[in-house]
Amino acid sequence: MAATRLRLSPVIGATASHHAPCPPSVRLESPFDRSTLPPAAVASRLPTSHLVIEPDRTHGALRNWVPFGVGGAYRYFTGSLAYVLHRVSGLALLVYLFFHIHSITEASHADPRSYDVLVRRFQETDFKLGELALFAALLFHGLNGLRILLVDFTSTGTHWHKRLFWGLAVLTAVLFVLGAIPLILHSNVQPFFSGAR
Amino acid sequence: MGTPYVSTRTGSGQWIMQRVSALLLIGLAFGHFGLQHFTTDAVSTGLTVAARFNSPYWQGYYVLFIALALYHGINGVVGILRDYNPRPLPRVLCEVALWTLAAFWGGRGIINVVTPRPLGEVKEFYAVNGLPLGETRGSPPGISGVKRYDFGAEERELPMLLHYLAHHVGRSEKAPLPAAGVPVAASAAVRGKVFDEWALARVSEGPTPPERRDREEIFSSTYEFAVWALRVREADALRRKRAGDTAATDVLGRIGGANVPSYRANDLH
Repeated sequence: MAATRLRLSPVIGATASHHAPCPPSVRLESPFDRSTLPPAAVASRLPTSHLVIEPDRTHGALRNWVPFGVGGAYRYFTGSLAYVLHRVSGLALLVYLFFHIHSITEASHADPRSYDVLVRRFQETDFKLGELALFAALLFHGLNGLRILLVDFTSTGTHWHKRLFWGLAVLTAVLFVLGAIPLILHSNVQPFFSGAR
Repeated sequence: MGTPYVSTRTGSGQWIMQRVSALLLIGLAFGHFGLQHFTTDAVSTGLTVAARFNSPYWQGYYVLFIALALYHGINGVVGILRDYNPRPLPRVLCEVALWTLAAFWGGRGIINVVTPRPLGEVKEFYAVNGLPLGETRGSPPGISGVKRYDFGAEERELPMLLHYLAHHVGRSEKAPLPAAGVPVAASAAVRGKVFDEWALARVSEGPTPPERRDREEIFSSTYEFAVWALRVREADALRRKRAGDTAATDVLGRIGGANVPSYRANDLH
């Protein structure tokens, strides 16, 4: 069995290497153009994963904010930033969905008035912060999902994808602020559920 | 310039379904979040939730929402898993575990949506037991101390009853709202007295004939709401009296002295 190594980022352009072993040059495919590899490494076909590969288009890269060299030579571009944020927000929403189905089902099986209790609990600070995080995750994931649909299903989507991303980032921020005001004030619920007696 | 990505290779089914479910979920998820946080229905109580789960349209909405959200979420996790190129056995085990979890949890949620407690039963429960009394563990739990609340306290109960009257009563009678003419600064006891007198006047008018009832609403007529609200007020006042609140005797005297029928949802809705 081949030695396994913890990979923190997925294999880009991965093939089923354990089904059909590939030559090293294929397995060491980097996210960047192969022309960025040192010519000597390409010519000798030696393992190059220990090398720090500087891409040509450094000006387009965002700084790798993950400390201690985690992620190796990975550079964050606009697309990869969107990719990471989309996955993280999606996983958070899925975990939330399980808790949400659980709490609603439990409340339905108890005293019918347990919903009043639940909504009263949701007004407290910890749940309010969670609600804001949920709103942000939902907004970003939904809008970035629309961007993915545009990139995939329109012929010019790939041409605009970076501008689309920064546009949706601004839109997410604006809608978040606009929505967070009523969420924090909760003016439509406040007369009924505010304050402990 | 790229071309739209179209493929019929292995995995393209999951790929396209992820996008189809995403498109539907954008409407369903934002609709649900907006309803729960930015509309008057944000005052979710046992009554409003029972009413929604008893409506076939909302049942359809939530069955679709739960199924699509879990499908989309688990399909996304399977996609992430496959990106890491696992060996066949762990991959199949993980995928089977994920889909089993989704089916079990989704089944729980969907069964909960399609088998609601009947709305009439819930309304009668409130009429007998009053609005809830309880406590939460504070925020953050266990550190900031226990928070007690009592929806049956007169100053909390009145806004809730007036909210139901304004938003969840079929208003074929065109009866005036009791809030009109009541000074906002008046004490809860004074406002409670005005409310009781208004409700007793509606009860004395007799039941609304079935053809004038609006069965789409939680309370099909002002008469039904008046009977229910008086029963809720009576149950809450009884609890306050037992806790030593002498002012509750006034409420009990007003409602007990009048000829208010007991609340039966099947007869009145």
